[in-house]
Amino acid sequence: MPAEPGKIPAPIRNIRELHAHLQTALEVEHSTIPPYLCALYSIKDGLNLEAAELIRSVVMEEMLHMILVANVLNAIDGKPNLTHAKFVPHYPAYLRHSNRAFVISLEKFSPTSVDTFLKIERPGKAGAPVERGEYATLGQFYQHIKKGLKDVCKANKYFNGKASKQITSEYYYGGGGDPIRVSNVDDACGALDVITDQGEGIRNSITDGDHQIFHQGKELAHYFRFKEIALGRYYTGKDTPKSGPTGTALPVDWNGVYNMRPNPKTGYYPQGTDLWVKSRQFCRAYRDLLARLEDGMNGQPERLIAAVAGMYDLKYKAVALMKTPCDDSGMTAGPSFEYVPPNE
Amino acid sequence: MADSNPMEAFLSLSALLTGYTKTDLLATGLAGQYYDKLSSIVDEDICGALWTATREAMKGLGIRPKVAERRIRKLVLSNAMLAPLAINIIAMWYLSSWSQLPQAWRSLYGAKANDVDHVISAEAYQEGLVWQAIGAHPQGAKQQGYGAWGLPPPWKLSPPWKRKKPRLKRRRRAA
Repeated sequence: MPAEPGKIPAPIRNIRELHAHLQTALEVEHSTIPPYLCALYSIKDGLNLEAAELIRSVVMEEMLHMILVANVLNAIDGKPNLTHAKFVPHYPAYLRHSNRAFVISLEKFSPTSVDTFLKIERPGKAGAPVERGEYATLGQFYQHIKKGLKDVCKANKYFNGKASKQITSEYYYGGGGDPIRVSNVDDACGALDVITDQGEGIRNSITDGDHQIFHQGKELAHYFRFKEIALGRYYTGKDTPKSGPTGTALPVDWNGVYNMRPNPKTGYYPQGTDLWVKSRQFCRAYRDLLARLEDGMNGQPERLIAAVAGMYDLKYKAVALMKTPCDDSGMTAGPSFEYVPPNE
Repeated sequence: MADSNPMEAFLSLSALLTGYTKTDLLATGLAGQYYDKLSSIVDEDICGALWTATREAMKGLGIRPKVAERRIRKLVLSNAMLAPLAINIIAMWYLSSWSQLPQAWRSLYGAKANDVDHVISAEAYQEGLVWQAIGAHPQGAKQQGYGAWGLPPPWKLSPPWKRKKPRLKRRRRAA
């Protein structure tokens, strides 16, 4: 952990600490994906199309963020690790970088879960320094890493990672923008800027800056996409963070959702029962998916193709659980995203 | 064990007929649709007889599936009124469609207007057990991602009997 509660995050002093911070960044980026996926998959087929599309687009960009962080880590000869026992948080959990102001849970699509997503993506005040104590926003965390990169890797020192480990658009497709090939400090800072811009937006704006970097149409930063869902209204091109959304209505049906029991755990069901087995199967599928991603980030980019197939399969497994009643309460089972050892 | 709830009897019978567990069947989200389909085409008292036969077959605490299966063969599959319904239940779960009941059955027990061949619903098409059983995906739905056709089939998705190694008969040596 780069920042413990109550302590001022110390500057990053050496390459080892830089590797550790980037590994944490990878874990932070990943930790938002299971909660977003739970909300997304809980939406019943054909309902809440607009909201589902907004959440899906955010998930796509979170995956891009993982790839971007991995490219930075690989550029300085780090080793992205997605398979250690603590890689997937034990939900409900605090965001790993955070000042522990809020907890993130695995929940169905609901006003509560969208409110948590807003907290995750909350923009920092323009140029706000790292606050005393911890990082209040993801932006502050990345600011800290960028400073570390500039300090530790002066004159591109340590940029001796294998170029073949960089993941390029050949293996990453489908949205969220293109991966950036990282070979020096400027590339690295650029890649990290994409992450914060997509999440929080560029200063005093609701857009994410992708139109400048990827030459895409103007896109909203994650925070403002969730704001649209929460307020049930789209932003227009003229809107600002202050004005709020003034566009057309965005219909949200909070009932068109599987009633997933929050923070599902395999242990809720007696060992060996069908539901226990299914829940465990999901966790194993997720473990295998992370293993393929890790291979992909460690010199075998072709493994990402199999990883994508694993992502589709994961969705079908998760939805199957969400359709299965977990008891007589009217709630259903759900994907628990728990760690399973590699040999099981 | 099936209790007096007809939906529960329907699930127990479906599990025995398809070879999938009740949880597998519930996970498709279609048990309600199939139950309603059957009830809308077949008279209540005939359905009632099917549930009674199912409960009879499931009698006894912790009954072995093989025993229940044997009883179902006798009480349902060997019964002229109930067997066609069992066949249609299997077809609904696997092929997502209702097949018109045999003419002989229709003239004896009544023919409803909606007893015609049809696919139950778009959702049912996607969740047909046939796709799981053969380790494939419904064409046009549940896509698997670019290049998935080059990967080995996900056999673990298949029902248990698919995982067993086939027993090879020994060839007699030519004398």
